[in-house]
Amino acid sequence: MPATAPLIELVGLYRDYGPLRAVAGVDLRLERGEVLGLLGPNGAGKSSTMQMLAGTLAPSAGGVRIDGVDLLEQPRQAKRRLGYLPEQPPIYPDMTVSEYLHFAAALHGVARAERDAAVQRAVARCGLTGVEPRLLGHLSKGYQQRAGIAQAIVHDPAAVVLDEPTVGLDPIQIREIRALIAELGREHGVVLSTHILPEVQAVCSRVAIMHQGHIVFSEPMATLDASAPADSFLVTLARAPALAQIEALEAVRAAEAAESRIRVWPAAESGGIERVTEQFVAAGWGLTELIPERRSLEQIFVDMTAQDAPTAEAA
Amino acid sequence: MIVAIARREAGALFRSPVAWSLLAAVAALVAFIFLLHLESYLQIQSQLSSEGGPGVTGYLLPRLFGGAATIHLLALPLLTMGLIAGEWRHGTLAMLLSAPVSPLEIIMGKFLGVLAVLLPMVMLTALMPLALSALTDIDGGALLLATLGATLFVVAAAAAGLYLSTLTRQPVIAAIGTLALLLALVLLGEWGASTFKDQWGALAAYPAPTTHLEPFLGGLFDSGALAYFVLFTALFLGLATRRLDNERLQR
Repeated sequence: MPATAPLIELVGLYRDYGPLRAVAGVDLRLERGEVLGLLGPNGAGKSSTMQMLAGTLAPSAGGVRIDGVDLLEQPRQAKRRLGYLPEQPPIYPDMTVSEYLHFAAALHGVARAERDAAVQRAVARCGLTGVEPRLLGHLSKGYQQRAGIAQAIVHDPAAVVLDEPTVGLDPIQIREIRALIAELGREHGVVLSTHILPEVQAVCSRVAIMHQGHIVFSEPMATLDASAPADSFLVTLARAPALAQIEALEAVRAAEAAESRIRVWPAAESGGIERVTEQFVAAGWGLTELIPERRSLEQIFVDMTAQDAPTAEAA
Repeated sequence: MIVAIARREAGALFRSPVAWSLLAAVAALVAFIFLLHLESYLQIQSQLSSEGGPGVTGYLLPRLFGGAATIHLLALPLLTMGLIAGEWRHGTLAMLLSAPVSPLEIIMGKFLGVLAVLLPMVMLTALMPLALSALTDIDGGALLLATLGATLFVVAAAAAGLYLSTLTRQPVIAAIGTLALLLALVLLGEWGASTFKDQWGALAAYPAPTTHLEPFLGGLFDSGALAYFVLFTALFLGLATRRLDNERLQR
């Protein structure tokens, strides 16, 4: 297994602030080429988790490995493999973009001879070309955010941790930053925390939802795609029988009334709807409408975070 | 990486008008003190020399460097106040803490960075008596010792200022705290020395950096005083490092 160690591995991570347990046993893995979206309501423990990942906060218990290197035992080597954009972009207003990125490169141990090339690469990737000689304090929020991302990738880290990278940006800037994140995800692994659901859908390949310090949901985005099998179906029947009669069918796991329609859960995981329709037609109930229902990310988010006692059960 | 942090800090200080205006103001004030004491020396010079009193170096150096120490003490918190508090305000401390550098390296980088402004401040003071060497004989050894004493004094006070800057996100509060701490030590020492003329007075005067500056200004190399300044500096740099480390451990 160590041959392909995950870029980021959190094992049983706990964080207590006095009596308050902000993070309670988080296990998380980030593989190469992944963009992991860490979702959660405010106060779910996202930022604490991100800070522990970045090494700016020590865990109360548990371990963090960056590219196979233990962050607590070998912080220097581990941190060199990591780029971090904190929630508030770390901007020195009195430095030019170029000076700032040179400083970031030196700080992260990029050799003097390679700094110019590293800075140029980060400038080009983050769309900062042309603003290098300008003072950070004079740049718009969008450019400051890009400079913040540039400082996180200037030393070409294996994993990039971005804490709410699109807060306070206008829609065009958000699109540009998201495109940049998607690009970063191809070569580096990216962990991204946010509470903006469409952002996760737009850029992430995997989503993890945090609630009350726990990871309550962790799935590849692909399972939430339109191509994925639906969980339930809304059916309209011309001659609807009693619900008990529908539930009595062998292909149906459960059924409930949903306004003028009936919601049906097939018994089989996949291909179940085929059997359901066959049996409906055979029963002669006059099937006129069949609507697949998929849980949207928003529904999952609400379901997972509305309950007080988190469970490990996922969709 | 200490160098990278120190260079950035020194660059930031010299880019802002703060360092320049402070250096200019300190130079003007110290020059005024210098001219004042030079003038009074010239008036009583014949009397002093007939009585076998101190020469120009012996007369001038303690007065000039003693007065300059007060000015340095007042100026220094304005430079040290933002060292860590400013990083906190700009959110850049997270960048330093997440980088592959230890808290000690961050503190040392910051400390060396601010010394890049403070040492020229001391040198400006030393240049004034040095200018007299064109006209008269200056005791080079005494001047060197006085400069060394003033440097140690400023270095130690800067370490205290750096520590105070780690305690708050408000640079102004760090400046007030530094000033209060250093002045309290100095005043305690003066009060103790003038109230009890015995060992209790010496005890009260011991923590004051000014007490240990005196032998250097009088042309003495006091290794005890040197040890005091080294310990004072190390203590506050150690406390500052601990404070940064605590930032990671709890909140």
